[in-house]
Amino acid sequence: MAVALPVCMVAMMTFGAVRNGRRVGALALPFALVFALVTGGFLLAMALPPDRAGDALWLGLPRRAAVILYGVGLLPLFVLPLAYALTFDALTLSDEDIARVRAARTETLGESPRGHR
Amino acid sequence: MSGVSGIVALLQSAAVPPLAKPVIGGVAVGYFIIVAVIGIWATRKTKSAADFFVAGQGLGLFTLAIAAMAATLSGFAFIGGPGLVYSLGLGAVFIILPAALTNSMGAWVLAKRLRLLAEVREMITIPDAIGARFQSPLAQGLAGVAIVLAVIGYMATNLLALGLVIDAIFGIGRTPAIWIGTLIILAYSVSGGILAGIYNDVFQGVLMAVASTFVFSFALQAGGGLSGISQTIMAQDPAILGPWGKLTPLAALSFFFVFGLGSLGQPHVAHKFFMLKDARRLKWFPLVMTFALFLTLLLFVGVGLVVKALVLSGRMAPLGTADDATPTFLLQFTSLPLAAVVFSAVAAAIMSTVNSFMSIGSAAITHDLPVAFGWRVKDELRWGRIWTVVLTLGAAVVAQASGTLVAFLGVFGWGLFASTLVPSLALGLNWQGATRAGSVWSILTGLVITLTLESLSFFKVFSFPSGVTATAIALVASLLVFVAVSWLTRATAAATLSPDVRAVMEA
Repeated sequence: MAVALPVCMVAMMTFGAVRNGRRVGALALPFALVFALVTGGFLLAMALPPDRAGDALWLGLPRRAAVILYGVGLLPLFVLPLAYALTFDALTLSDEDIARVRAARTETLGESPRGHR
Repeated sequence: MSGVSGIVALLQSAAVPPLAKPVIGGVAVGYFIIVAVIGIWATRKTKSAADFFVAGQGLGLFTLAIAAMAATLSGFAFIGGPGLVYSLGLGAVFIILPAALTNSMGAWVLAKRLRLLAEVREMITIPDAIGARFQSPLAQGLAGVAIVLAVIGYMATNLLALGLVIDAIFGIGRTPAIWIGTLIILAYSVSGGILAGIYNDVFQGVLMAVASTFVFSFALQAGGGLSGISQTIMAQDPAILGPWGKLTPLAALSFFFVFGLGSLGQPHVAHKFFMLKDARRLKWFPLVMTFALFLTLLLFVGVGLVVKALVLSGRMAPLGTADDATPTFLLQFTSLPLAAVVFSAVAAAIMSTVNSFMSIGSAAITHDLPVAFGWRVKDELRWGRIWTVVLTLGAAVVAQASGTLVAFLGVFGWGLFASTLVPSLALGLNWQGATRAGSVWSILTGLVITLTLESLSFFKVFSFPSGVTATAIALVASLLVFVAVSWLTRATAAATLSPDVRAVMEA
């Protein structure tokens, strides 16, 4: 389950990012990184020995807690939204994409885009 | 997350300590006045059903992101969540942990498709999107039924929580407090519709984020920093800071699955994508929403852990109930004005969530169910207002019932949304091989399994093993049914896809 869940989540993101059968391009790296962070975080939390009082803390938390909170919960926060923004024009939505959609609307229903409003 | 409000609704039903202090009451009154002013302004701008249900499709990025964040979080983020961290430790954090992924995942999987659908079709509701994608009034109607069933329970749990907060502030008794809270939300929602809701969401969302950030800094100060908090807890109750807290790994990971994937089926958040004025503004949506969500959830983790440390070190008396964690910390370790703002923020979080449910519930009745029967309500604005009142009053009556019943209704809300809507939205909008039959059967599967398993569990016919939830079972089952039925009926896939919708899916 520690591996299956990240697989499921990253697969869903990839599924949404793939456009018309093309590859995800530059998004492959952030997706792979996030998969590694989340899977690695879960597995490391299971593999590390239990923390005890007096053990060294990682950024203020016991090691296994730090792995979960920082590795799984915090780092992907910085990776994914930035990856989305930085690749948006090239890989997600351009003005040409919107024009094509509006043209399809006109072709299908014979009305100008958003003319129903 | 709003799902949190359903799953752990019971946790909200514990009363916060009486706080009849003038400062808290004064700030709360000031807060309600601002909400009323925004409602009056929005009422003047609401002139059509499109204004009422989708804010005239004229929102900017910041407004969309903050409103979506406010609708996502209910009062649970401030009261039940920290209480859960106090009692279960890091295991409770697995409810919010998927937020690191879900905002971006939702942007890739849903946001662009839904916003582009609004470019080519008249989109008022999420079932509209399902109906357009599969050219199926039946699928749209079934999705509408699921939304109405879930919304009543969700609204009841949140109205009960709002009543408890108002009672704690003004000391007027639970029943009057529920009705006063209900009437305040109704006043601005019925007149100003989602437009009033959205701009109140923005005000409420900013309030929640700012209050949470301040409280988090007070928490670190009171506990001697994160290291001080950790050392205190590790010395006496190390399980709290284990990677799964006091849950089993299976239970913690099950939270991660349900609140992660299930986030793709929350209509009160997803339908806000229709409202964005310019589709290209989605570029910065995940970043803005994630940042706002991160700030707002600091209180969830920070207060839960610091209160545990304070109790273990003897600086705070043991709590009567876990839900007392936030109110007790606020009153003992922060300034009174900040405590007052946070109590208003709790009310704000609840009200923004309820308003969103009002909107999608009345839209489902006014718009989606008639479409399923092949007709269209003539004056959707008028009937939208009428059904908003009926649904809300119905939920307020339910909220007076036993806490257990209300909790039960809230529990299946999240599961019903997730199991009925995730397959048709997340898979359906991205997979051209999906079929109408796949959509219809997956929605039916989600409805039947969720209602059956939750009812059997409620009546104690059986109990699930630790870590297994009805929501997870129903979600997995409806996804499998969606894929299997679509594959079996794959010959019909092309026929259920109109050219303009195909263009949206290929964009």
